[in-house]
Parts: sequence; structure tokens; C-alpha cells
Amino acid sequence: MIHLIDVEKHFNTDVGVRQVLRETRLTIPTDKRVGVLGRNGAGKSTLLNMIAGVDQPSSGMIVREDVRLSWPLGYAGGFHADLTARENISFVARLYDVDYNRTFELTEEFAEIGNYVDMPIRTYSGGMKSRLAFGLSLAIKFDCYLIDETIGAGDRFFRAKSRKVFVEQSKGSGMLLVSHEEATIREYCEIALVLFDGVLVPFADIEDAIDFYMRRCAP
Amino acid sequence: MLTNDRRTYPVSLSVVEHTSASVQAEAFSRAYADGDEDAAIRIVIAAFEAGTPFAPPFESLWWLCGELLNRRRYRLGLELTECVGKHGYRGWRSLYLRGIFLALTREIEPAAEVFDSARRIAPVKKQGEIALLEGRLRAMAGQTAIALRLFRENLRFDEAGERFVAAALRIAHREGERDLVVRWAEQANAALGVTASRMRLLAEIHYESGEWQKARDAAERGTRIDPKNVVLCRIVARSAYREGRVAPAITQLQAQLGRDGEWTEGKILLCRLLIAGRRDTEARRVLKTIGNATDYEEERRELRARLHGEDSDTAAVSSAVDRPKTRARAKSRDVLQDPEVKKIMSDIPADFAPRWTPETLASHGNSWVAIKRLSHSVRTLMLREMMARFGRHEIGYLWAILEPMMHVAVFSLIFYFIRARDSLGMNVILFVATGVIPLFIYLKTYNHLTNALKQNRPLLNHSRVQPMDIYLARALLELFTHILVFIVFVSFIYMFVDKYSFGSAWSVLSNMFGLWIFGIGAGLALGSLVVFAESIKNVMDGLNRLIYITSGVFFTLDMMPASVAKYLTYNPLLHFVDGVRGNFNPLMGGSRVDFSYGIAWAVAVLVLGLVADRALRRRVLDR
Repeated sequence: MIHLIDVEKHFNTDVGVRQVLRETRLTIPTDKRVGVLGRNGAGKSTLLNMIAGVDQPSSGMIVREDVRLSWPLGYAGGFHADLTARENISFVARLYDVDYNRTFELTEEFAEIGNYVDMPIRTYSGGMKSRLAFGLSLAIKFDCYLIDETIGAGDRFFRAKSRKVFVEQSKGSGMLLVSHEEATIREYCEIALVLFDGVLVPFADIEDAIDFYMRRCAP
Repeated sequence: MLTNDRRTYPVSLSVVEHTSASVQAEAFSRAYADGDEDAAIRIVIAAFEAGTPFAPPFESLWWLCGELLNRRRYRLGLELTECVGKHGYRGWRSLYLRGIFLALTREIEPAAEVFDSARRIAPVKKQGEIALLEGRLRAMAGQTAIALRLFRENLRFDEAGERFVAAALRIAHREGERDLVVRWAEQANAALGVTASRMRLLAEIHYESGEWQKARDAAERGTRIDPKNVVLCRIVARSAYREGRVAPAITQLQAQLGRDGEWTEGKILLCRLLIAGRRDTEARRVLKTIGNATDYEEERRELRARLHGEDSDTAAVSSAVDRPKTRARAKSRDVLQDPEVKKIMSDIPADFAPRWTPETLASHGNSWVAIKRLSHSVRTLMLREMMARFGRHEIGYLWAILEPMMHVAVFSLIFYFIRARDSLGMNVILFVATGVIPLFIYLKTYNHLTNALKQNRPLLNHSRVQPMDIYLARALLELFTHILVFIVFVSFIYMFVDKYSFGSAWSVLSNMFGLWIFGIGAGLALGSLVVFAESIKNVMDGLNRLIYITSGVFFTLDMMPASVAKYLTYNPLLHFVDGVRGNFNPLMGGSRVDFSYGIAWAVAVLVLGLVADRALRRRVLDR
């Protein structure tokens, strides 16, 4: 479970204070498939970043309770550009205490990058990098997956494959999917939060959430 | 009942041969054939009133009635059927039609009487249908006993319509015939399929008779057909409460209240259950959402008393916790005052309800777990950083030795050629190496920490990596690297250049440690303070160049004239550098070196760095 204990987030910018999240007191279950719906710029990604630990709340705190939380699915920014794919995988495997060989095999098999595995990441094309990142996300079993907008990487064929593998892999795991696309939320989630003007409005029913989103968040 | 096909009954054939009658008959036939019902009916009524021997075929009259029903001209139909009844034809069908028209013009009781007469003379297969019609009318007229008898005798589920069944159930329910209702409802469900309203009736009956489980089953079956039916959903939740199974009932009630926030009774029930389940904080929250002036004022008072009376100290804590919330609400009035949002937020679905307890928070702060995580994460990060250094250049880790070697070589040459070597009192290379490498510990640690958070921000996406891990990993790597480089240098010098006498390794290490924590402190402080102005970094870079010159890489305190040395002693790093060098030549220790002064500075800078990092870390990450 992820506890948002009186979490509040704003950014001080040159053009004034931008309120992203008003004081929130919620527990987000990590054993359920949870969606977060919100418009572009509503602060969904900041929320996800706060939960992942990249951003910090302006006040209050976030407590992640005994849970193996993934990094945002398919996020390639965590790779060290000077390290090879092999070395990056070994770092992640060691960090999460999983078997390196197995993780490497699964990733390599999925990512289709061939003999590039021994080249530094900085030589990779964008597509290769994202395929590698996605493959690595899937090679490790998590209790809860964080997902920013998209499931999958690369071209449409690869994306279809990614989705298939992801659905298989995430069976029994929770997820926190952040999206502005109600269709995505409907497809993958059980319960949802709508980020509406800095307020996380909770819904036990996806359709209620989508209904609220369509009615209230429309400009 | 009525045929709508006028061609089946050619009117002209049945017209009687009579002059006056034939005129009327002809007019009637024409009007009828043209489909002008009004005119046709007027002719019929006039003919009946006048008592002429004109007799239109009855089938055409029934057809006319049907047409009138379709067009909702009930009064005209009533007039026609009454006229027909008065003047001759007294068949069941005329009565039946009159009954229908009477009923439709809201003459309920007369209609029922007419149906009664009709039923007596109707053919057997029609009697049932007429009886049901009469039953419905009797029920509407309040003659429930008769109605119930009629339904009891005539209700056939395989042929009766949904409306008759509903009326029958209603009557039976009103008469208190519970068993009959249950039996009928079940038969109807079997014959006609399940409907929400029937399930609601069943659920209510079971609920009233205290059969909670049956009530819940019935209501749940109903909600399967009509999930939005508030009454059914409430019965489900209410029966779950009555069944006394606390946890499922709480879920049910919370789910229902999520959709149905105005349901005060449900809130009261939920509150009771939460108290029973020792979840007082949540109970208090629910209680708060109950308005003041409701029908449940008494229950609300009672619950309040139970919640706040039992444990007044936790109540105080909870109100203290709730205070900032109300303040935030007041600050951001607009959205939170929105009635819809307010309604949802006043009753957070169970999935999202705050669920942390003091134990959760305590286990989060468990220091043993934290140390284990920290050490694992630091080790992993150090390995990553080392791999990256090996990979970056072809020379890889050799760079860590080459860089200080170049500094040492350049300065040794300068010293050599300006012929200062004699005045140094020790080997030139040893002199420079023991100055440059310790200072490198400070410079490199500082350098790697100022950008640590910014460069490694993506790593924070791994929830196992925290900012402090990144600092520690980088700082430790610098320390170990430079200690190693230092050992390589001094051993090399000992073996090939100069057989010096070595002092204490502890002294060397403690001075290096001082330089190291100074570097950590300065790196953290600068890395954080840049949020105020980027130019602070330039100032510090300039300062570091000054430090390089003044920190005893090129001189020792004792070489300086007293008047200059007086000021130089303020530089804390100079004490560390001199302190290290003192271990390689007993004459180099220097009487002015003050380790405790240096370490006090280093600790102070470290404190400053840690404070600045803690205070400004969020802003660094926000940028």
C-alpha cells in the first residue's frame, strides 16, 4: 500500500505558484489495478514521480508499505549512458536482488537488440533503448507496476507484443497507471482516481470515474 | 378480441331490406367503409335512439370500438357501448367493452361491476382474463379482499401479463399474505423471468420477516438486473449489516455509500460497524459526514457519545491531525466546495480510505531495515559507478591514477627547475604527491557531490534508491579510490625513489577522513545552495582554485614567515594536508598544525551540507 499522508505539492515558478496536488489523505492499494485519470498538465506524472521517489511532496509524506514497486514501466532514463546493456541489467538485477542471468536472458530475448548488448547505451537508437527498458521492466516480477501513459514501446508490432507480455507478467500484480486516455484506464484498471484541479477524487468504479472525468474535466 | 380488418365483414350483406333503414344502413356502410368512425357511430346511436329496425352487424361495432381505443376516444366508446347495451344487445362482449371504456374514463367501481356481469356470461376461456381485469379494478377501488380472491382463483402465470402479476403481488402484500407473495413471486420468476421490482418486493418481505440472508440474496439477484437501483442496493447493504458479518458488511456499506452519499441510515450503520471493528478513526470520519438535522439525530448523538466518550485522548489526537486538513480546505475553497467533489470526498471508497496505523509508520522508520537497504543500495550504486568509469575511456580506471600523476609530475618538474628542491627538506616527488593526492580527496568528493542528485535523478525512479545512497556511494568511491591511489604512489616512491621513514597510518587516514567529510559537506551545501543562484557554483570554483594554492600542496606552514603563516592557519584544509605530509618526514609536521581546528571545520561544513541538503533537496529535484 502507498500511503499519501497529507501530501501536498506545488511548484514555485517564475510566473507564480503552480498547485499540482492539494492536501491529500489517501491510501492507494498496491494489490489492485489503479488508474489515475487527468488532463494534460494536471500533475499526473508529478504524482507518479512522487510515488516513485523522484519528486518530493511540498509537505506531508508518502509511505510505501512493504511492497516491491517497479520503476515507471519502460522508463529508459535510468540507464547509464556509458554502460552497456549487460552492465545496466546487472545493476538493476543486483539492486532488486534478482538472478542476473535469468533477468538478462529474459530482457535480451524480449528486447531484440542482438549483439548490441555489449555496446554502451549512448550508441543506441531511441527505439532500442525503449525496447531494452521495457524488456527489463518485464523481466523482473513486481508487486505493483507504475505506468506513465503507455504500455509498450517501439513500433506497432513490438507494442502489441509488449502488451501481451505485460498482461501475462502483471497477472496477480497491482498497478498504478497514469493516463489521460479513458480507454486505457478502462482496459487495464479496476478502480480509479481522477486528478481534478489538484484534487485526487477516488472512485470504486471505473465507469463512475470516467463519467466524472468526461463531465467535469472537460474544458 | 377485436378484429381490425373491416374487409372480413362486408356490411352491405347484413343490411335489412327496409326503406328508412336502408338509408341509414347505406350511410353507415359508407361512413364505415370510409373509415369515418365518428360519423358511423353517430348513425348507429341515432338509429338505436330512434328505434328503427336498422341493425348494424356487431362485428363492425366491435371493430369500431377497437378503433376508438386506439385513438383514445374513450367517452365516445362509452356512449356507443352504453347505447348498444340499452337497446338490445346484452352479450358479454358489449359488457366487456363497456367495462374497458369505463375503466379508461376512470369510473373504477362501475367498471368493476360491469366486468363482474360480463364474467358471469362470458365463455369459460374468457372468464379468467376478465376476472383479472376486474381484480385489478377492485384493487384500485380498495376492495382488496375481493381482488385477492379474484387473483387467487384466476391467476395463471403462463398467460397473465406482467402488470396483472405485479398487481396481484401488490394486493397480496397489502393483505399481509407473505407466503402467498413469496410463492407467487417465485412462480412468476419461473414463468416470466426475474425483474428488479419483483426482487425488491421479495427482498423487502424477507427483510421484514427478519430473514436477512434471503433478503440479501433476493436483493442481490435484483441488482444483477438493475445495478443502479438504489432501494435494492440499500437492502443488500442493510441485510449485510443485519447478518452481523462485520467486515463484508463494512465493504458493502462503504460501496453503497460511495454511490449514495445522502443515505444517512447507511452512515449510521457503517459507523456502528466500524466501532464494532475497532476502527474508530474511520467511524469518526463517517460520523462527521452526517448532517445535523436528520431523522437520525438520536442515533448520531449516541454514536458521538460512544466515539468521543470512550477515548477522549485519541479524540484529541485525531482532531489535531484533522486540523491542517480543514485549513487546507478553507484555503482552496473552489473545487473542494464543489458539491459533487465534496460528496465523493466526504465518503472515500474503501479501496482508497486512509489505512495507515501507528504500526505501519513505525515499521517504515525501522532503522535496521533502513541500514540494510542503504548498504545494499550503496554497494550496488558504487559498482555501477565503477563500471561506468572503466567503460568511459579506453584507459578506464587508470585515469584515477593518471590525473594526480600528471599534477605530481608537473609540479615536481617546476620545483626541480626553480631549484627549490634543496629548500624543501624532502624528496620533491614525495613532497608534491603527499600534498596533491590528499587535496584531491577533498576536491573530487566535492566535485562529484555537487552534481550527484541532478545527474542521478533518474535513478530515484527505483524506489530502492534514495538521495542519500547516491551521495554516499559517490563519496565512498572517491575516498576509496584516492586512498588506493595514494598507497600506489607512496609505495612506488618508497620502492624506486626515496626510502623515507613513515609515521602513523592512523594519522594519515584521519587527516584524509577530515578532508573527505569536508568535501562531502561542501559538495552537499553547494549542490543545494545553487537553487538560490547558479553563480554560487562559479564563486566556489574560484575558491577551490585558491584552496589548491593555499592548502599546502606547494609549501608547508613552517616554510612560511610567521606573519604570513598567521593568516594561512585559518585555512582548515592546510592543517589536514600538512598533517598527512608530517608522516613522511618527521621534520615536516610543523608546530602550527592543528588537527582539531581542521576537524571542527570539517564537521561544521558537513553539518551545513546536511542541513542545506535536507532543507533544499525538494527544490533541487523540482528544478
